[in-house]
Amino acid sequence: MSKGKKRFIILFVLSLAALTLVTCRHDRKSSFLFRALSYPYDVLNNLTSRMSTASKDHWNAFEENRRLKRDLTAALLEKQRCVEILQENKRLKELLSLKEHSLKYAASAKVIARGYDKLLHTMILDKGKNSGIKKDMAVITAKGLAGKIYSVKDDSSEVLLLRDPNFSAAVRLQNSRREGVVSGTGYRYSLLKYIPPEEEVEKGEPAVTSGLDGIFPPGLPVGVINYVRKEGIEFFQDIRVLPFQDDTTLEEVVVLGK
Amino acid sequence: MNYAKWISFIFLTFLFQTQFSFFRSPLTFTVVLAYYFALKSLPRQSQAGEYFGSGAEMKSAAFGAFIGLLEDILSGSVVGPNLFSKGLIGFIGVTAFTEVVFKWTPVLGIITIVLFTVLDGIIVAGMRSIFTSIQINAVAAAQIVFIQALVNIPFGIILKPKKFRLTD
Repeated sequence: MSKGKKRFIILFVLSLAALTLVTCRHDRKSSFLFRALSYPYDVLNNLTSRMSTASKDHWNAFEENRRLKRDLTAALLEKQRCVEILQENKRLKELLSLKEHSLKYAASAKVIARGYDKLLHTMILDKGKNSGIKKDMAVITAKGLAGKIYSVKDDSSEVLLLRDPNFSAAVRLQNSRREGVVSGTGYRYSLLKYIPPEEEVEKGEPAVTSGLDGIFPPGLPVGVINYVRKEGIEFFQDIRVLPFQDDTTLEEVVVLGK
Repeated sequence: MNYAKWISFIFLTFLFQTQFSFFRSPLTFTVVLAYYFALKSLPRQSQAGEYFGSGAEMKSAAFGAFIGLLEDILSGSVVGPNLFSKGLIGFIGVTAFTEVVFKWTPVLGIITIVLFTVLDGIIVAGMRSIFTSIQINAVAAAQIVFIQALVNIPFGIILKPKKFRLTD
């Protein structure tokens, strides 16, 4: 067989294999083979992450302890104040007959690695199905919304970050109560969509989740408006939102149940 | 021993790829690995100046396809885009250095690794946008590929085909 024919056969087999397998969308739980192949990498990632975390924790333990003691004192004082405010709030809500929406806690998890998919902005968490995490659950930090659960395995899960263009969440501007949809752009900022030009939106106004999408509970801080453009637009304003939580500093998160 | 070496290379590549980023961009060391394997499997040159051992192309393409398959599986999306792109890099890597290029220089190494990184980016992004419903921001994807190519440049200089010598 000539060299040219051999090359054609190699290319043909390669293309055929890719095009055949491309129809095989897997969700990491359907195939034993896929799970078996990805298992060593998940274990390795977990291991290296634990090692680096342990050494870092040890290194910072003393300083962290001192800071925590200081923060604890401040937090206790703050807690006293908050208890008063919460009780007052509850009383007022009862008066208004409003139903209280409590956030359902699912799990707290650590970020152990960047996601495997280069085209998506994802992070891998060290908790999964065994800790009660399910697909599409909201992922938050103390600063605000960080993303949502994209895929779940037994002991790990993947978070689709707010930055990703495939991420969207229904939001409401905190002061003006206008509703829109926040979508990732691939950059640090996100876009606030579907705000018509006649609406007045001010820079610096915070955006929180509205809960209308059925995924995120209402009231989670998302970000702050940092750019508004009304000129040269078509149907909606060009509004940019700077998320409160920068995903490059994401270390520990809380996953909220539905 | 040789298998153990390549298996550890694959492990380390995926580990580095998932643990590190450059200017917030994910890296693509699997392209470098496929390229390195292609260079390593370059056929020896005979005295007459003719190459033999045409199985190198198949071997290199198969290795590239295997690491691409692993990457696809780990990514949790469709299986195929990385398989095809890395397989193609393995195949072209051998073909180019046996049929097209007759003298290796560092500049050529840089050009090759940059072209392979861009080719990988185009194939993966193209196939993913065709066969899945994910949205890809073309400008952001181009920036990522650009940074990945920049990071891979040193490997283009370092990785040199040892058995590749021009007969006088």
